Amino acid sequence: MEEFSDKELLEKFRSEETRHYAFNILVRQYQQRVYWHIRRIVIDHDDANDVTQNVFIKVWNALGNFREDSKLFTWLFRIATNESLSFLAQKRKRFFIPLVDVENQLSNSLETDPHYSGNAIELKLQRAVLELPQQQRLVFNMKYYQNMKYEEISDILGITVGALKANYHHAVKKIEKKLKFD
Amino acid sequence: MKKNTSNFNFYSDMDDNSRQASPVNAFRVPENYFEQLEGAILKNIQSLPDFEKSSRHNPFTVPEGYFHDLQHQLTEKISSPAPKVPSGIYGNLSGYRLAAILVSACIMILSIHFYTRETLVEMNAVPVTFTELGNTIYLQDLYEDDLVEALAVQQSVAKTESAETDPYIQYLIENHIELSQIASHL
Repeated sequence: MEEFSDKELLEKFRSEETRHYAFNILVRQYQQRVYWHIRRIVIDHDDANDVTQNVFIKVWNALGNFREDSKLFTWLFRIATNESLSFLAQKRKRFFIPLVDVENQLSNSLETDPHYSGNAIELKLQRAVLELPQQQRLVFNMKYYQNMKYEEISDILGITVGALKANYHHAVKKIEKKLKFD
Repeated sequence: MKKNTSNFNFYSDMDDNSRQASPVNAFRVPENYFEQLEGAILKNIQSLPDFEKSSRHNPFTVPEGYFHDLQHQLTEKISSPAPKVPSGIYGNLSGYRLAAILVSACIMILSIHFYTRETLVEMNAVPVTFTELGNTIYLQDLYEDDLVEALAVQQSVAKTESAETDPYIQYLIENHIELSQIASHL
């Protein structure tokens, strides 16, 4: 698969003739990373599919005005993160669910989810992750599962590297405690 | 029960120096400890039931061909975008907000309607004099409350009208006669 740099993609996108081509390349390059990032937040595949599509539609509408003050990937992930969190917030409002219970519901749905194939240990880990406060969960997902650098996460979430390290450390400690004593 | 937290290598990006070089770390480890640690951990891990070797195995799955279909779906959507919501007073309102506004407006309109209706009913109430009451029903069949109400209405009419008032009512008022006294004599 041919890969383009951010600059090349943006140039092609800004041209009327090559806009669709550039967008297809962008989707092909980033769809999996964006999808898995969203999926780790919203858990359910159908929800992740909806959010992913919304993200790329937003990208299509906004890419022409992208100011290039960050990497394209960072910008994409920022949109994906915000859309995922908005989705969860809407889910709470729509069904009058208290803050904590959405994560409990997601956790309970894992066992019967046809698109989840984890073993008992992975299920336990995923449940422990879902019990983390929102910010810690985001940082943990990006650091542990996606192996992103703290500087990248800092650009996406707008949090300092020091705070991210603290978040990750606390998240790990809570998960360890959860896995040890459950 | 074996502790299974060692399955997950949370600090894989930190080197040995980072782990050890804490300014307050007064502890020491045996020689070559970290070199043989990895092997010992893996041995423990592999002895656990149902554990897959990759510690970062992705347990989530997607339907077959999902990412291929996703691209096609996105291409279709951007080629035929959804019709824009007309701008103006309703343009920027979401469905839920619009519904909430309409419900609130209905409640307000109904409240105003019922309030003004009650007021009109009161205003249209015809004052009844004792004479009329006496002509239509037997006084002894009246409840005391009805007499009191009739008296109150008569009094309010008497205050506003400068014309002649019912002489019976006037008599009762001037002589401080309670209606209950009349009722007991009926």
